[in-house]
Amino acid sequence: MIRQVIAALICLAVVLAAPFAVSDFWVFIFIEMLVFGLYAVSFNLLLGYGGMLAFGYAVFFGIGAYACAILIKRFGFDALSATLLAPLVTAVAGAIIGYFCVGLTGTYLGMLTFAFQMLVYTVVLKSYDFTGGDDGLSGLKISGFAAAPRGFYYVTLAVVALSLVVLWRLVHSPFGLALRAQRGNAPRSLALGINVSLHRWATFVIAAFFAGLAGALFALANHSVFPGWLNWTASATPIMMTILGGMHSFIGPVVGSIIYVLMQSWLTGQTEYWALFLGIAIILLVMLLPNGVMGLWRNSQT
Amino acid sequence: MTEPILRVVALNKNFGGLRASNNVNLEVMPGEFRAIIGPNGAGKSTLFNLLSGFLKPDSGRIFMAGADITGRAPYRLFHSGMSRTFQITSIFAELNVLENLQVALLSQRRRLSDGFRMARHAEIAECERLIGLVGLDVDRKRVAGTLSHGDQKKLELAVALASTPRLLLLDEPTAGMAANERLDSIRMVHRIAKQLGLTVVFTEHDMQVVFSASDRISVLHHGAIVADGTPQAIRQSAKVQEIYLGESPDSIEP
Repeated sequence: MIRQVIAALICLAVVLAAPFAVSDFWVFIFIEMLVFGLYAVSFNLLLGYGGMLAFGYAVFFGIGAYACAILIKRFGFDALSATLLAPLVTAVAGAIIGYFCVGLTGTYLGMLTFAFQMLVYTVVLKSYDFTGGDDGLSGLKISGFAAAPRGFYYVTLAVVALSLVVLWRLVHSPFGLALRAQRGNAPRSLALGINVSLHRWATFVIAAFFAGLAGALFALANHSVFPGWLNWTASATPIMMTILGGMHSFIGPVVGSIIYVLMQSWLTGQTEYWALFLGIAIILLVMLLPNGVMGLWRNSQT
Repeated sequence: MTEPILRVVALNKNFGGLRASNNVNLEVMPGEFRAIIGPNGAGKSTLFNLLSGFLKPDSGRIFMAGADITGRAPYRLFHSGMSRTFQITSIFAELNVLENLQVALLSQRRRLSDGFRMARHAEIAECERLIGLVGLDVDRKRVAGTLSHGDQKKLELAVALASTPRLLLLDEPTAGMAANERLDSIRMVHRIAKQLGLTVVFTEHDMQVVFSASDRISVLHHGAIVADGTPQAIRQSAKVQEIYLGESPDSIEP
């Protein structure tokens, strides 16, 4: 117990002091790790806990980012209100998309989320006047404490930490127990009084909310949004982060996000063929660690 | 006159040209231990899936304690007081023993929408009561999928009992057991049912099991109920003997 408290205090000290030890570039990298960590954990709520592989999951990240940017640029909201509203907009999108998806399983569910992603991508790309088309939207202004990179880092840290606490409670609650139950055995869950479709739908809405929040934070961190965030290739990111870190661990996707962002940042500085090397590194990691990095850590504990 | 817990009226279900349920009528009284027997393919599983809401009948009605439950979704039937098991042992293999029971208990108390409180310590005393009831002697934190087949069957029964159902449907509760385990197993179920005053309907094709623990027996053949009576009457029925002798010789045992 004392060792855990000390470990937690050291972690806290590191994440609080980190931005002062590095350049602005690295502060942005840290923000990216946090934002994608939350994004991947929300994705894993569907995959690891709910057994739903949403191939087109970037649709929610993209909607969150665009909702935030559009609220600021087109409706004159300030950054704070836009960040609070964007996840709600995304949750509504999650409710609509989830409604059509929860009755499906496996590849069919994955492909339908994919189709919705391509639909939203196309709409964003073609609505030039509203979304900026293929230029995206830029010049998102933040005022006050969060305007500086280090200020924004602390805001992101607080929001992500709070979100992770909420999600951690959720997966360990009776709701989370029922979610894991239906993943393994849907007929048994039905016979035990669980409205499986409704439960899966609620999970979709919650996951979308947090993916949207991550998207909004990332839009503000970049002061811009780009349609590429909604393109189909963007959906690989949360999947790879989750597999890398381990889908059977709550914190696994965060670990995956840290590794992924680190490798990407380092490799882009080394070679223009960074994607090739990133791909090879991920293949090796997945082959050597079938349960992700957290699977390795768990094995060493027992 | 007491009302039957389960009343089935003129139930029909076709799959293409196959009459899986053919004008089935059935009445089960409170506290009864009822067996439904029949050769393979007689329609036992179809009837069970109709009763538990997993299939919708083409026609006919199902009443539980007087209320029309025809076509009611399985998760709603659970909250109306029905509980069922599956022919192939159906537990939550990835959850531990305790969690398997907690799902059922929390569901019955309508607490599964609670997304904030911790589930880990919920209903421990009640879990222990159920574990004791079925005589399951294993580590509570063990992942259920790693239990022996017999222990999985016990856990499945404990889960089915968790909601104190008014009507318990057991689909081949002794499937996959060795011959000597079957009798012990059904006698345990029988003892628990009588102790708790449960109404049980079960399917079975081991005749010894059926005759040793049932108050009444209904015989299904080609989707229809061809005989209905006490074990004594069914044993002596020429019609039943004919059905079983007409089938493969291993479906009837002395």
